[in-house]
Amino acid sequence: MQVTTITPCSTFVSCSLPLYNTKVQAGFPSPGDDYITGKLDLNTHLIRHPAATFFIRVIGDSMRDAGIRENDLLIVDKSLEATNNKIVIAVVNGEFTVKRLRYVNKEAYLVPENDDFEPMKVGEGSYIWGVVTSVIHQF
Amino acid sequence: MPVFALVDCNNFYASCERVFNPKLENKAIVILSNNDGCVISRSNEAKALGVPMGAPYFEYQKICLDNKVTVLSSNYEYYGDMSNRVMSSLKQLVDDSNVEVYSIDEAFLNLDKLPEEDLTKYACSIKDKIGMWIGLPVSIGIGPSKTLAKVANFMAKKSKCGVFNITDEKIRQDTLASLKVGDIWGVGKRIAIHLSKLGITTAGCLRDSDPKYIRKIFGVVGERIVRELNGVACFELETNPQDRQNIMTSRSFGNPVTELADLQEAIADYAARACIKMRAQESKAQGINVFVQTNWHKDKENFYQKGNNYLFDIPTDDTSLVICKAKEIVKALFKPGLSYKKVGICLLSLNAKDNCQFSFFNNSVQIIDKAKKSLVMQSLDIINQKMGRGTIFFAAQGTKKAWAMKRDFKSPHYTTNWKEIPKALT
Repeated sequence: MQVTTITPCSTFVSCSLPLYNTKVQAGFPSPGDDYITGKLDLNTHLIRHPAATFFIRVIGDSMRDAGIRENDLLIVDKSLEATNNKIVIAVVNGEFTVKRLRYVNKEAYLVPENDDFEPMKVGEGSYIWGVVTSVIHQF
Repeated sequence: MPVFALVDCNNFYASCERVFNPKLENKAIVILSNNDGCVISRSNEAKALGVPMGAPYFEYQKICLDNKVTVLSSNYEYYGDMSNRVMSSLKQLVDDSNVEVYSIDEAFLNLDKLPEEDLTKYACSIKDKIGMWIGLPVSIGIGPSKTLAKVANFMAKKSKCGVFNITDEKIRQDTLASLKVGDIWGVGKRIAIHLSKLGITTAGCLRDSDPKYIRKIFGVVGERIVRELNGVACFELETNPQDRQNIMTSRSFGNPVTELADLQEAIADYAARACIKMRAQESKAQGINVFVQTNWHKDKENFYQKGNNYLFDIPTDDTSLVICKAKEIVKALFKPGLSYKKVGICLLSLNAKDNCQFSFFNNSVQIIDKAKKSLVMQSLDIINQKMGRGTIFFAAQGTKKAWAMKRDFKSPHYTTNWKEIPKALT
């Protein structure tokens, strides 16, 4: 027997294609044909700006009425502008705190969401660190 | 006309420590190297106290204690993550193809598409954004060549606004006249001394020298520096870093090691780490070099340092095989009765996975077996990536690790470990 040619087996190249959620049918086209199914990813859903996004753990319950409880996980985006009514992470006396930001006559206040706590003014040495975009509570 | 910007994080490690510990703002901070040995980063306040870069910590321990300096062990996992954030932010701002990551805290940018009058303003906005998004202060130098961008960055660090543009001829002239030749990128201490003997003491003098003359004494790199100082870009932006040909992992031990079992545990751990890096660049190793070393300072007379190579018949990325051979070499090199300070492994001649040549003598069963092992490695890497480094590891790497390096003052892994993320009081 003679060897005539030697060829390598072809390298497998993958190509992703969108997956349509209906079979091709003859006749009436389904309104679902234009929709492509894909996986749902929490990361892309909750984090718009990964380089500027950090996770912070909650201690205490002064933001209870905003739905933020002890041990919850906060997703904080440092690239967002801290505007009126946003829930923010602020630095007060060198520590992180979570509060709602409120501007009253152009003065900034850090307001708790729990009647047992008092609002405080953003004073000398305090500053806004980032904006809380989501809170994750695990049961 | 080419325009380069050098973006450099100020006192990078020390600045990283301030991001999640705002109490450290304006305080003296010193960061120590592996085994808490030497000073590798200082805040400006620590610099003002006279703590030099690279100094052995024990020599300045008293000054640090007397002045309440915050001393921290290096937190590389955290610094690496912060570095990635800075680099990906820069790539977002000026586009991937215009960023060259030069080191953990420096990047060159290509800004040639911007109108000249907008350069300084644009650099200021980059500085502001990095400061806001990540909390790190950076300095930016702009120039028509990489060397001049570096010079500009040096000036930026001393300036109030943190940005310095050297594209203007007059500003460049004045700056180079006042800059010492040893402060130029690429001019080391020895070369600076040699240049001074030739009468070249300032950057301005070097710029005015004959490039051919400089080439005769200092080679083509010297000539390029002269041309770059004159505003001619000789070094390009390198946006595709080349894969490494060799990967070395070696560490000094926190406590001296005398037992073979402990040495083998350490080499298994280093081998596993090196293999992870190798697989990340999709290479396979043709061989390994493993060495052991005793403590030179503790016992000069009995100092022992020896290494051995092992070549694989098929290039491999299989950690278990690498660990097996590395342990064998350590056993062969081990001499009882000595106190070991260090072991290391170097993965040699890394080839791209697809370019590996098979040995003529391997049969198809062996090749399939290797392919299966490769899949196991892939799964291991994916799981460790999801659940945290070291979730799955080889038993040979050890669980107690008495030899692991000391990092007594390390801050938490703020951004890479769920258990150590920062807390906020509500």
